[in-house]
Amino acid sequence: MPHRELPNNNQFLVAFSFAGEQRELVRSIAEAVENRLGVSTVFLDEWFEYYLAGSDADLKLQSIYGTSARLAVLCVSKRYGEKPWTLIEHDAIRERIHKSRVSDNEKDRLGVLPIRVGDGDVAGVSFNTIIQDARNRSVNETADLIIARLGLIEPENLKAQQIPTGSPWPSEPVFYEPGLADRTGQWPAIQRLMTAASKLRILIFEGPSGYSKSTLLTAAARYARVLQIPVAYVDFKDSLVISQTNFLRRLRLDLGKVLPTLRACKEPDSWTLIEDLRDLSSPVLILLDTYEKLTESKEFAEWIENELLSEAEQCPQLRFLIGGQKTPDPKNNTRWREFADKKNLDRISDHQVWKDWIQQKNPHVDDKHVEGIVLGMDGVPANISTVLTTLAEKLVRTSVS
Amino acid sequence: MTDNFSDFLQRLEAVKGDPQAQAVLAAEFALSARPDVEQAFLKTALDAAAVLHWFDIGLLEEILEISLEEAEASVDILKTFTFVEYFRREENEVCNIHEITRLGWRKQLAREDTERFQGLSMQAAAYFANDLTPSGRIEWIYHLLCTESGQGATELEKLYRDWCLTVHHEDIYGLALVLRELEDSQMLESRARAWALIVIAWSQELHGETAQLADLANQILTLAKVHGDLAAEVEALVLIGDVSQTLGKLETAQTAFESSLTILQKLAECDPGNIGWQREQGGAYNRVGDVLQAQGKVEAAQAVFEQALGISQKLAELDPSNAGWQRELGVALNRMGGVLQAQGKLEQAQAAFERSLAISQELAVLDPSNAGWQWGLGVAHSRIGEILQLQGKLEAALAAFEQALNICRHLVELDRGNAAWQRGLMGAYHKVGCVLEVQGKQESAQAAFREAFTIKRRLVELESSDSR
Repeated sequence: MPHRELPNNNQFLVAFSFAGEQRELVRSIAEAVENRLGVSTVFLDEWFEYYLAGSDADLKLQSIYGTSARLAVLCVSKRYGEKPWTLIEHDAIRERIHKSRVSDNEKDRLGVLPIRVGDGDVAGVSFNTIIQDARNRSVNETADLIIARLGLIEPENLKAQQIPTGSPWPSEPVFYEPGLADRTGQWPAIQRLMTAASKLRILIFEGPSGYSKSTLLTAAARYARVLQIPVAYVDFKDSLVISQTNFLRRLRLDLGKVLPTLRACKEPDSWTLIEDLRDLSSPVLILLDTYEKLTESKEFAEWIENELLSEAEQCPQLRFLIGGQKTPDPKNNTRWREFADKKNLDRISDHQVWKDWIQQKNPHVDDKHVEGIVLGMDGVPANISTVLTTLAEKLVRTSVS
Repeated sequence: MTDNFSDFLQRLEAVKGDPQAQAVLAAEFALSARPDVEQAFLKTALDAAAVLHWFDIGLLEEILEISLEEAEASVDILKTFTFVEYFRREENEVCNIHEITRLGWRKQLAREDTERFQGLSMQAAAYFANDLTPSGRIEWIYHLLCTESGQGATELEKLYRDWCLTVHHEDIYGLALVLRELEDSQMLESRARAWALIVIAWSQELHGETAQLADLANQILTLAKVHGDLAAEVEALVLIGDVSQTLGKLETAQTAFESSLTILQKLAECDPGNIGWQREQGGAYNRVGDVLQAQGKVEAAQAVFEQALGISQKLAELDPSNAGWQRELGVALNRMGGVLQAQGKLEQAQAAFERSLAISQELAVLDPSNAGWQWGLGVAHSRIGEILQLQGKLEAALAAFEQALNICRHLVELDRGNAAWQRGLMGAYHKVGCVLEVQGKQESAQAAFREAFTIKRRLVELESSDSR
């Protein structure tokens, strides 16, 4: 869960209030809205855990939903009205609705938008309220709805805020907190890869299972979306994409808008893909995860390594990020080795790194516990993060109850 | 909290150096932090999720025989755990337990509650039983091998035989991948293990790694003999023969192939209605013939190839719709043509090659996406071209070589990284060039030789960049 910096005066444009059971859907919508409005404009509790942790979380939430956020999105479901935290948020929103009814400013009445994310009703949302069902729309369509509503409240702010689509690679890395422990060598390398002046076009991470490869690639995908860069994320743990035909179909699905000829093909083929890649006038990021699953499929792996990755030489707008327990070795590929770098991921055994990381989630986690876990888990990041995250959440729940 | 945590750290100490066991403890810790009312059904859901390669609401609903609501609730909560990932499978979002946790959890479940593990695997096998797509078959056999090992071995053997002739290479690789996982997890035993290793070896042969399979072949042979699986013993002997032949040890190869033939003859005698044994005999005859021909014993090779051809012809007539048997007939005809050509019997060789070509043409029309069959068609054209060239029929030879060239070009366009196809294309250009040269068309001949040389350079580059 990558954290964001707080906006100035804690003034968010949009704040989402929801029950945890719908977190997945709500997070997707919140990310889509954030992609359009920019980092630190959208409030989602998990992005600001470090800010909320403590005994005054209820006051902070009341402030955010009550007054700080220009638009409060109330995610309606049966469970919403049954949770202690959502009740606090709901109280603030209901107060906001009540105040808006007596306000002279019509925009105040537009400041709460209910969307349905699950079955059931919520007290205070009357039966004649029209509630758009986010389950029946794409994430982007729901995001469009929220942005459009915000546009009624803050038309000028919105215009200035929106990031235009089809952005170029930035000239410098943009601030983005990926929420990774350590990986101080790896994350900056990813950000540098995704700049206009980057000499490197292929970055490879190799390491055993549980060493944060997918975490790095997922963070890169999120960062790319913040930059408005089209991304194709192909995870070879899905055995269906371990065939050139299905791989090309996946690329067409993810990147069809920027690969028009491939999109128009009845059956995508490798030559059309390469032609479209060479015609790229804007950035594209292709992520290849769980690469070791591909190595079993010799012909396909050879095509990727000898043909597809070689396009990094011909296509300055193209970037590749590869993660796996076994990955291509740039030294063995003369056509693209000068554009590539490979990093071996190691354990993260530095206690202080984990302490700093968990402090952002919950400053009350005991340092001694962190040390014990890091030692006990031999520095394996996936296992450590599972236990520390659980500890941090347990402490939050304990403090609330 | 402190007591629980100390207990957790002690358990962690006990599994030091075992990342899978550590991952399991981490997952159990995360599970223990959930409300008491949730823990039992979450553990159940996690058991099922760890048995599966991926899961969604529908899969859990079926495997656990729970209601849709319960399955939804389980998936919603499971998704909140850091060790649960999700990805798109076709148009759907599905979840999976992170590999290190999944393998550890499976191992623990199989060890501590074998009945439950096998029960879940059986449910999973039943779920995939009616999915006849290659990926469905792979999942089905994977789960079946975790339940009733004997039945799993039998079905794996059947799947292997079905797929030998018809399936695309990527499906074989997919099957080998899951079998490797079971082998690495030490979840296979006896016959099931033998057949899993046979498929893994087959996958490696397709990778061109035959020369490295000696140890594996001997391992399979030992397992097959210990468990009295004659069919597996045949496969092991064939593999030993292939390895030996690749290494140039022709006598060892001949001995292994002849031993496999002896067993097959016994199996066919015991079960005369079993078409499969007859088919396998045909294959064994072909292998023996190949080795004899490589040793220069062409008459002996011809006699053996005739046996193989007889079997292939009988099977092809029995079921003309069986594409695999048609292909085997084509291959048998090619072998016959080759040995006749080696003896200078050009007309007879041409007849054999033309019959093979007709079969290849039908197969290529049947499934244009099957690269192996396209390749076979190219080879058939090329063999005919050689005969025509030897007969001095240069125009006809050129036409045949150009057909082969067009097919090779198409295959290389599909996959420029495929070294075998690149070599085929190089050979096709070279043959075209030779005929043009004899015809006095020097410029065209030089152009063809230049193309061949360009490909040769590309192959050298490929081979130097390919460390496999």
